[in-house]
Amino acid sequence: MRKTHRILMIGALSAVLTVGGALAASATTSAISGTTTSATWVNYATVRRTTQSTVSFTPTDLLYQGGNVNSLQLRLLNENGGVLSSSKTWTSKINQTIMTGLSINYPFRMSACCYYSGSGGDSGWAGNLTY
Amino acid sequence: MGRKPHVLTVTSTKQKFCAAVLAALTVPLILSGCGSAKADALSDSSSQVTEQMSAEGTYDFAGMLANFHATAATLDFPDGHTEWEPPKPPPDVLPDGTIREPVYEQGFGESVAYSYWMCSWQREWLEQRGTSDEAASHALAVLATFPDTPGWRWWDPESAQSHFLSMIEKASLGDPTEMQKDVVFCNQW
Repeated sequence: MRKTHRILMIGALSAVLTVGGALAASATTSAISGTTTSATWVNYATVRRTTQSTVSFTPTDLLYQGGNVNSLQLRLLNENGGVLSSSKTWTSKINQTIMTGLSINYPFRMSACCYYSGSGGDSGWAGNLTY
Repeated sequence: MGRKPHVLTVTSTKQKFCAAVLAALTVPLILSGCGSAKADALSDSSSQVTEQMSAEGTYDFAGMLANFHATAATLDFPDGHTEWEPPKPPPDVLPDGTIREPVYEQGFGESVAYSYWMCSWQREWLEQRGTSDEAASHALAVLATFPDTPGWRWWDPESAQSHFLSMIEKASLGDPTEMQKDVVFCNQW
């Protein structure tokens, strides 16, 4: 194999490894949604693991609360069901951090609140969770 | 429960995991855990874009605890493991004094029981490693059955399932580092 070809192949392999490494280190983002028909916290069963130290959420659908108000509260639970983070409230579809300083691969569950029991209350929320 | 498209990647990871475990361990229990049924099930769900967490038919703490104990009763634990059950979290007290108790997605107790079961066997493997090869092999074989248990569906494929499979694959090859890091998170049990 000619030297030029070897250099090109090494360059291409390095590029593949670099991109692969970057992908492996990237955060996980999941499109998630939940339902709630309760005016209190609903604790969900799914266990997730952090792939970065911060967990954040961008809603695409909030819970109608009457009038012109839509909102959603989320918090993180430990794997054993205990509360891990303080709650975060959304009234618009902006990205907010739920918790920082977590170890990589830390196990957690999600908890959401609250269904509006008045007229027009909807039970579905959704968004993108990055963790 | 729907999953994101790259669940297919998880399936591929699982197949590699099964191959590695089968190469390292010749335990019939594991053989039954690496069939194609699970892979097919995951592939079938891969067309779903979002993951739906349902609050249909939620139960209160007592219901969750009953679900936990019913599940734990079906699971084998290492000899001498410490009995444990989820503690009742303090309720929210609203400004007007209203007490607000959380509710739980059906399956929450089952999911917690499997978390506890997993931590118990992780500890067992680390404790027995270097002391009793037979006991350590048994602990790892039990852990390797997790993907074929009902509890596996509660582990997020993108993060929790892939992490578990990687950890067990390394352990089966004699590398305890991932298990040692992971068992730190078992301090809540």
